[in-house]
Amino acid sequence: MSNTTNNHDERDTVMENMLDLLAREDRTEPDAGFEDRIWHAMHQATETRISGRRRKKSTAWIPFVTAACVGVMGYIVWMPMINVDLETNDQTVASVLDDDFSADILLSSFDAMDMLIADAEEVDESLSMLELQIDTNEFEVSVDSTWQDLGGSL
Amino acid sequence: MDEHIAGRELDDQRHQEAAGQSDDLAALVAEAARGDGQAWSELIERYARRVYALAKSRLRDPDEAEEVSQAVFASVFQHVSTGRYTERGQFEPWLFRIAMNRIRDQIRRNTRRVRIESHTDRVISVPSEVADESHDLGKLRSAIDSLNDSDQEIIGLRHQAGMEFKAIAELLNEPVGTLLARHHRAMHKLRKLLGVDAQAGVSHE
Repeated sequence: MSNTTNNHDERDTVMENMLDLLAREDRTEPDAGFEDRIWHAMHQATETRISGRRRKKSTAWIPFVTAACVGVMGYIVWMPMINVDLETNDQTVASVLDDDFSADILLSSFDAMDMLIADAEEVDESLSMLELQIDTNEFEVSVDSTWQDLGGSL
Repeated sequence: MDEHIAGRELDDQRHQEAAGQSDDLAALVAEAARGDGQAWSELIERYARRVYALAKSRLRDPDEAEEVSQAVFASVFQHVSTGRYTERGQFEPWLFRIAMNRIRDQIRRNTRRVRIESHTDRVISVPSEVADESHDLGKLRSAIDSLNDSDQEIIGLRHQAGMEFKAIAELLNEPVGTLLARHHRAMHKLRKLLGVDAQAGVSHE
């Protein structure tokens, strides 16, 4: 058992030595300027980043100015149109006004109904009076018309 | 037996180096963060070639490996110099994590460019006579290439990057025991591929 373990250890050591040799070869592969190139690339990347930042700063005003221009344009274009609509009673505005008007009528008729219901007895009386008057008038009119017809025929 | 002792000595030496480096590494990174050029030079001196070796082991292309190394250090420099990296004694795992990510990106890009036939765990024919200390490292490279990604990763981090298992565990967020097992498995596959076992005349259970 211990012999097998020793063999395993030995073979692992052989393998590890081979791998270390390979790693050493890979590490020594780049030329002497390798570190300098790393250093240069490192600083170049940072410089690019800084210059990128500066460019961003210099163009930072563009969205604000654009937004302001859009606001001013909107004011100039839309404000006169709103005034014209009010003065010329545009359909949209008119429909709104109609709605308001009908709503007022509805409310006032509700008030009248309330008053009528409150004075129900008076309404009954006045209704019967009206019926009487109508009947009388119809009679009178019918009488008048009969005599007029007679006179006409004579 | 001599090889065994030499291996142990190498391990001890590696461990001592790592321990000594970790002591002054935090101070070095702090100086680099303050913009000390000398500190940056030392960090490059210490890690650039290890990053290169790791990249080379995975990418196989020297130009791509150097490109990745430059990108890694550019990223590290930006993070450290702008205070986005806070030193918690994990500079090395952090640096190699960046390296691994860059390498993976490059592999993905290369795969998109050329669809390479997957040859995971394929047994390659390696004559047994090449498997001794002085051998053709090209064969070993081919053997590593034939391992799967997980095995290549652990071999690359341990040997090409020269990392301690503890640092690899921090990098990959895996227990040290799991990594030791992974490493052992990868080594076993390599031995099998290179015929080291056959040469030693030991049969596997």
